[in-house]
Amino acid sequence: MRPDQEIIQRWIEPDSRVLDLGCGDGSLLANLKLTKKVKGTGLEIDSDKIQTCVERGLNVIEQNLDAGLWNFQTDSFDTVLLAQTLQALSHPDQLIDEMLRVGRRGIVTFPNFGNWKSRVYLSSKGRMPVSKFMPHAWYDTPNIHFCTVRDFDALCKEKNIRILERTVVDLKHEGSLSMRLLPNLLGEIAIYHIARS
Amino acid sequence: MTKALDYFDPSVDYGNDLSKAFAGGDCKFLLVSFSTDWRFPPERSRELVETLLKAGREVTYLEVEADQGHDAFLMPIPRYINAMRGFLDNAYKELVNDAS
Repeated sequence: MRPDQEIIQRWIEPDSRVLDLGCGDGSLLANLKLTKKVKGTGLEIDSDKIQTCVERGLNVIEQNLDAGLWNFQTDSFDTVLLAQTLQALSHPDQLIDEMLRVGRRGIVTFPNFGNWKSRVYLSSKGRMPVSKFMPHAWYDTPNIHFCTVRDFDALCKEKNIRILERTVVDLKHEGSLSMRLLPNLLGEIAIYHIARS
Repeated sequence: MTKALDYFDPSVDYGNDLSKAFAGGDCKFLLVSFSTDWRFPPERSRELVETLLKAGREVTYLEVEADQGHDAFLMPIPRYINAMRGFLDNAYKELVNDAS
């Protein structure tokens, strides 16, 4: 299992209700179902990935996250996950609000644009960073709202959202002491556990 | 027949609350809607999804692109057929597991 998924798994209580926004092929949900016996549901728009979820016996709903979570009751889940999807949303701030309405807690992971590699790329080449991690050109990328660790901290503060835990990892999804000391500079993927105040 | 179809309302016996009508039992639900079906359009299926979620039921929902209108459900549209197969395979596996 990917170390970032391992971190997420640690934060999930056994037998809890989990909603995975942009669940992809359902690998994380399937794992949580197996190890934590969660009652899970995923939202996805890619038809092939939806089919994989169905074949895995997962509950999956075809739904565009930009339309919000209007069909979900307040407090109907214990944890709402948003893994590597935040930066592709039209209104990431609104979806965060929705996450914490529908769920008691949220887990958000995103690529940290404040990482030194992006900074060096932008300052030396003067162009939008393109890498193995962010392989798209600026004009055809699904990632329309990049942010940094400090940006997300600021958003949480503005929205009065409690950060229960925050950790950063590299592209191999491994953490280190230096990354803990300088998360915004060294972290490549940020992982947040958040809750309403 | 058409009249019976139009007047059918499973919420009548549950104080007009459809989610209460769905609350009993423990089966899972698969809903598939077709983009050009105006008899049972996707919006109504999304309403059903909302109601099932409110009732705390397990639900899977697909919106299939199809140009055959309401009759699409009679056609061997790969996305629809594959989802049905995947869903029923799992239902069968669960039955066998429960029995053993």
